[in-house]
Amino acid sequence: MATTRREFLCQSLGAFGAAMLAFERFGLLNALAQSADYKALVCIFLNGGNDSGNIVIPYDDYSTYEAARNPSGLAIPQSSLLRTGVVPRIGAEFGFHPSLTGLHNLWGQGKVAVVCNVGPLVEPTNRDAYRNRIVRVPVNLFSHSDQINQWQTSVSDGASPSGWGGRTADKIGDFNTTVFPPITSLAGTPIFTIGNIERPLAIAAAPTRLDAALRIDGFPNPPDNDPRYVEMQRLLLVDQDKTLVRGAGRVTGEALAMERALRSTGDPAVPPFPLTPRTNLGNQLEQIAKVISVRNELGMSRQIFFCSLGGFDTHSGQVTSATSPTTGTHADLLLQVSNAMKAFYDATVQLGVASQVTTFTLSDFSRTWVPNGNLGTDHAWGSHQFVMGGSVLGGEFYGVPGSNGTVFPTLAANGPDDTDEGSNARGRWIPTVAIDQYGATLASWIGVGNTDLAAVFPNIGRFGQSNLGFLA
Amino acid sequence: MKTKLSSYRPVFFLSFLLSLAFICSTARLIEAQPSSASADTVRFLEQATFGPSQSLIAHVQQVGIEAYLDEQLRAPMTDYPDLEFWPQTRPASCTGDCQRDNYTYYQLQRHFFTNALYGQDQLRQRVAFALGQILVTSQVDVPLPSWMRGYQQLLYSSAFGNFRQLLYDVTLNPTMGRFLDMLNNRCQRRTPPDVNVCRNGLTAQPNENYAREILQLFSIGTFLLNQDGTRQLDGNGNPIPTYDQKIVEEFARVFTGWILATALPGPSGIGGTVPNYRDPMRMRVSGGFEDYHDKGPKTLLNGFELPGGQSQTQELNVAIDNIAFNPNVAPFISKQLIQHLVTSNPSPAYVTRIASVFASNSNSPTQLYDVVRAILLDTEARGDFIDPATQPNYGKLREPVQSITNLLRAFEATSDGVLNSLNVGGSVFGSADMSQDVFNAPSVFSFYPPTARVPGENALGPQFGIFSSLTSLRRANFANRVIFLTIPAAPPNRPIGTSIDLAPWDPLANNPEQLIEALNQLLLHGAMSAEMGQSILTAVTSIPASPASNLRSRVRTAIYLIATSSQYQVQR
Repeated sequence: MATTRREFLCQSLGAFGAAMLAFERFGLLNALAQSADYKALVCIFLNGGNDSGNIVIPYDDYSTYEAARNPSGLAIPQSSLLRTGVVPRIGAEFGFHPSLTGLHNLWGQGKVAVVCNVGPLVEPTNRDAYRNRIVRVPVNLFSHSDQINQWQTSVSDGASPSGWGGRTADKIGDFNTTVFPPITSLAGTPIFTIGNIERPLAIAAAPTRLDAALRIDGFPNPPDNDPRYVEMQRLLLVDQDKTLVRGAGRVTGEALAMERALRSTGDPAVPPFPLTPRTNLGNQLEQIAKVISVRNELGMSRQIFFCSLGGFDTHSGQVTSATSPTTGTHADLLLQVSNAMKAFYDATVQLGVASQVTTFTLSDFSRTWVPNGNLGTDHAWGSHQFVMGGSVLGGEFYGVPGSNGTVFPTLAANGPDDTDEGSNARGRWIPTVAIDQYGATLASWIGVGNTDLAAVFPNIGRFGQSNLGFLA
Repeated sequence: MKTKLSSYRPVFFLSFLLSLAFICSTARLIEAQPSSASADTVRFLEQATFGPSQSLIAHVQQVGIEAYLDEQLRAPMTDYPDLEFWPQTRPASCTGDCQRDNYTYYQLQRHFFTNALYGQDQLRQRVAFALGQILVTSQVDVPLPSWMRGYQQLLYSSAFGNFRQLLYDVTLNPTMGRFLDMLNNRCQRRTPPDVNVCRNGLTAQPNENYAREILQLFSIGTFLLNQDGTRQLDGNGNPIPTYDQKIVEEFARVFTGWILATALPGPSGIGGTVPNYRDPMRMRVSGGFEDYHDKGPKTLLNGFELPGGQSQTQELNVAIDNIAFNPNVAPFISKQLIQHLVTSNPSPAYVTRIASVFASNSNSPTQLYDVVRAILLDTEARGDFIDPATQPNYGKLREPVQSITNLLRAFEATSDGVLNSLNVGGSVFGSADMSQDVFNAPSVFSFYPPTARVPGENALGPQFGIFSSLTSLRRANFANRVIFLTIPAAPPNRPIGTSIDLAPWDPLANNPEQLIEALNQLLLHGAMSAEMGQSILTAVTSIPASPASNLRSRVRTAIYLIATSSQYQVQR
């Protein structure tokens, strides 16, 4: 029987020596996991605050949108929108930004859904309650770092040492019969990936080969009899009375162990990747697809992946010009997102796991409905997010009905969903869906039981629904 | 363009280190002697420079730490290369070296490293590097190196200066203006224009970007602080915000009306004019008045009322004063400088002492030097403050740049400074590959969040935000490449590569204990534990002393094990 992840972590918290032996019983020898029992979540974080106002646009009520965004040059022309058809839950038609062809295609196949007006909340909040200060609101609203933390931890009223991806991994790690970490990141180790028990494994994106996605140079293969390698590992065990030394040793120790695990995987091909031309997000998702393709060899039944793309903080130059609003920074980013997500979905179809992998987006916040004077937008609050996968009940909007009785916010500055008042109100929508609810829906799907849900989302009890129903 | 690589001649002070090794080593490897003057000199140089070199250790050992700090205040400033200003769109004729030097950060990044490796103004550079991670601009939105060069020069020249002046200069710097959108931030006037009426409902509003980040990141932070750096709490035990969204909007209105200075002539052979990223931004004046500026009254921090109708420059000065002399600035900036130089978890008393120096020198032209000097001479930086029994959370994880430069300086490396991005032998291990892409942080929030914790521990470790399984091994691979091989020359973009000469160390390898002790003094300021020494000794003595070529293997093995250890990656 293989060493479990929990045993490995317990060992590695104390003494690395035994843990270092874990890889001996690891990996290719371990075929216990069955592909039928496999589920993975893939988080795509859009760093900087994605302007939801220009990704999902009212088609039927286009004039409201046009009146707000055209004077500043940011309005996407109605004729260029990718039409959704009548969205069942709303009873009206919308349009995707013209860059989102891949996601629009999957929307048509029922594999993509939109979750509307999500954001950090301490408790359910509406405009009156917000303006009269009778509810607690998230710490430092409209700040990047605070809102990113809140999106990633689900805790909006104070600091949290862990994220909800990591805590979900804590709860599902025992599904796996391996020491390979349940959470893998292609974009560093943000707090989303850090659990109370689990720590993320960070690896390199494609085109780096999967079997070189973690590598240590300069040792024979296998390195076990090299005295320098042996002593390098032994040094990870000494000076444990120094906190930072201990912490660094944990990271390096796990890296050395998993380096040996990945070395044996080879470099599987996962069509339809690579994208032409290669993109930052595409390369991350390609490597994720490769890891998924060797899930049986790695002994994985449940996995969480993290990747990210920056550049969404479009305070200026969000569009090229008022006369060319469908090109520019935001259009380019959305094209990259859409193409990479579509290629990834197609890869999961090829791998036969399309219904077992759910991909979702997060972002700092949405942006002001009323733009600024630099063809840009400033920080706002509630945002729309995409969910993609074979288990997604797609072609639909999800959320919690707000001021207008639908899940979609009222698009009016100084209106019933705006934090701002007066003639210079910017339109920062107060979320109707808490991150907790969005995350809990995803975590429940991958296997976090109802009794564990409050451990992963400590404030979930404050919000009505813990499952928004967008996953089968 | 002119480039200037410091001429370099390796000077070895091995004999000095050897004498230390003899003094310190007995029949067995002995415990660290952190309080000895020589060890403290090395530790000081880890905090104050890009790494102790053998020659600099000897120098500071001779003159003393305080005299060295005096020297550093007066040391001539190293420059970045004087890059020509080119058009934003690259002319088709500019290819090859022209494209590399004027449309990539190659020369800037390379000089950052050669300055760090060989510059004499080490403290100035180290402080500028810290300031550059607090008052951040990034290639992300500053595509041309000539545009970034002026900002980095400003940080060099301001590193020992006055903080209020720095904040003012940064605010009007065109690179910052571009990066955080104060450049061209404007109010939208009604038609016909009314001098005093600016905002106009649904048409565009002032840009909030610079207003928010100057408050959140460059000066006061989001919560009211005590002078010891801890948060003030209200009656319910909750932290108290320093500002709200309304204040951000008010500052956004202050920061309207600035545009680039008059265009500069284009480069020779190209002609025309190019955007002026050399001079401070200027007011836009049209029709006889500052037509982009919002002249209405505004309410700033602490309820300060800015009456309407003042000139744009007047308003800016008052607003910068309103920010820079806020009581939060001293603990907010002081604590971060301590964290960048000395330790991630300074005691409240340490922060108080430094904040006091910051505040009492707020009008001094050498305020930041005074602050840095106090940080480095504090009892929490010097002497015996490193006992793990009483100070387990002491120290800081070296960031990638320092991981690289400390190793190279320790062995007086020969390097072309091409160290930011490296791909050699199918392995990548430059600073950028370790998540610290110099001058190209992912955002104004820099490379790592100040709130990042040490994995599995209840202690702050900001640099752990970019220390992962992936980057940890890349640090080791950099060490492997430099210690066992070289980063080979590969002209034109890697003219001489990077190498260290270990020949002077070979004789010492006949006596592994002396070898290890000399390395302990050089790399770990004598703080190596007996257990660590024993482990390294085991690996070194597994290599027979003969033939003579084995001596080098012993040296390399010992250096590799120290350089890749957590004990070395953590500056403590």
